[in-house]
Amino acid sequence: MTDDKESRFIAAAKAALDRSAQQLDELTIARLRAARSKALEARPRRLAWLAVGGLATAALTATLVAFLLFAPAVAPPVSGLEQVDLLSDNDGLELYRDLEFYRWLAEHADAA
Amino acid sequence: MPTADTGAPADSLQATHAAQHTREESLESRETLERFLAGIERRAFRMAQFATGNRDEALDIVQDAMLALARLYSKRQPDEWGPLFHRILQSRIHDWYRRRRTQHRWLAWLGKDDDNDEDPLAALPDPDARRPEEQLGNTRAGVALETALGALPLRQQQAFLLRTWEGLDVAATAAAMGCSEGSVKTHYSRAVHTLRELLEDHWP
Repeated sequence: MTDDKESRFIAAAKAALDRSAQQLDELTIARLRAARSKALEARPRRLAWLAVGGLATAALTATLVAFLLFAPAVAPPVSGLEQVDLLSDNDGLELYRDLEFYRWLAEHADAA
Repeated sequence: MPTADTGAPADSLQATHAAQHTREESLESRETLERFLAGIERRAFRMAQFATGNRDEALDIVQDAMLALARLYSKRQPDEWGPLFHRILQSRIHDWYRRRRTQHRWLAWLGKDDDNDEDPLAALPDPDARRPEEQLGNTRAGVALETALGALPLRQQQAFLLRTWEGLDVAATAAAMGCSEGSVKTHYSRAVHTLRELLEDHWP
């Protein structure tokens, strides 16, 4: 049968080709291995960058949360050292209590 | 704030797990691609060598094909790599032949004009072709096959190797060669006929 002969020929050719591929010299095998390594290094690294981005986002979130937790709840409404002094001693408080009187006195003193 | 209190470590842990998962996935895909390339590189090299008749040219072609597959298609499913790789490889071999044809034309123009084929890609024999008829009588079958393959026109050589050695069907071979299925059948049939004639003494 022609088909049988052709099948045997194809099988024999394939076996011979397989042998030829297995019998490559060491230098060729080494260069193929080097080419393979180079190709593997050339793969796109999109996933790695995504991971780095995820870690950076997590670190930023942690920093923000820590700031919100440990930062002072109310900042002192200080606009100057004189105001601090005024509010911290008793003389200053008495001055505020009698502020209307001192204003009246100042107006009349100017008029006089 | 209980949610804020536990949110940061949870986010961090999640990101670490995601990064670890990504790294593992990347390593796994690298290993899968390496296995694929290791499994196909020798046959690819031999195919390119049959086509070019030159080891260095063949190695360059295989390296180009590997790089292109890794850069462009490494994210595809592994079962797609085989057809894609063969498409790239055959395309690179085709390109090599085109460049060689241009060189031949220039040489013919500068020297003698003895090559006037209409379709050199289909009919051009290997530029480094050996003479199989002279060697068949005293070489082993394997060497005779390689010699005969090297002397085949490129298209017949590609069709024979892809169908016989790689086991691609007609449609996949046509896709790899960038031609019609009818052309593949014709080239394959002619290749088998020629090879059987040339190798009759070894494989009757």
